[in-house]
Amino acid sequence: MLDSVTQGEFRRFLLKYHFLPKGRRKTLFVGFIDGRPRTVSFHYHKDRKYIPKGTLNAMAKQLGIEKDRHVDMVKDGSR
Amino acid sequence: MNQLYSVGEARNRIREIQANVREGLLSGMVNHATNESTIMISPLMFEGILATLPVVNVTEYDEEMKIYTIYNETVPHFFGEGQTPEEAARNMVKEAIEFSREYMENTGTFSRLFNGIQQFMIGAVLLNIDDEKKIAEILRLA
Repeated sequence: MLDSVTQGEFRRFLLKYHFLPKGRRKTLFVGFIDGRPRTVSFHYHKDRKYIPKGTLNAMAKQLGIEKDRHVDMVKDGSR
Repeated sequence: MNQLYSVGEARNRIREIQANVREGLLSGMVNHATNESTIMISPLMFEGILATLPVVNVTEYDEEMKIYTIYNETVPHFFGEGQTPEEAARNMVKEAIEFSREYMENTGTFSRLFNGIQQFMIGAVLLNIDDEKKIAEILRLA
């Protein structure tokens, strides 16, 4: 699952970019990428659980990042 | 006849403004102190705009996880997962409601992050927050 991303990897990516949770449920994250404010909905349950591809694409769209670049950024950010 | 009112005029002539809006005229209110403006439209106009909005939902299937995801192209924060497309659509409506509630509680932050058309869709969900069927209609899931 080379182009798959786990919830743990995505969480570490958000931490790397200093995203902060907003709202009651703490599932909406706000931060900056490439100097622009971005927001993404992310439900964390288990570190090793994979995020479905469609959901990952929705998250890339929320962040305003192209799908392929998004996966690369998450993989880099989680190391 | 000018349809643009100052805050004071709007307060004093609210019945006239409501009548104009009901008759299909757009009315605007300008706060000269802050330069903020508000436009009032009738529910008929609102529904008309809503009906012509290009609402596109994307459905994707993850073969390995056997999960469907549906998300809205305009507001991708409206998304749902499920074992079937129907379940994903139901979850998308629930997520749209939850997301819109959170948006309303943090408008100071989120209003700067979403463009006009996105705000319009989120606003339309908020106006119908207790009616899942109507929200499914707005998101073209019904």
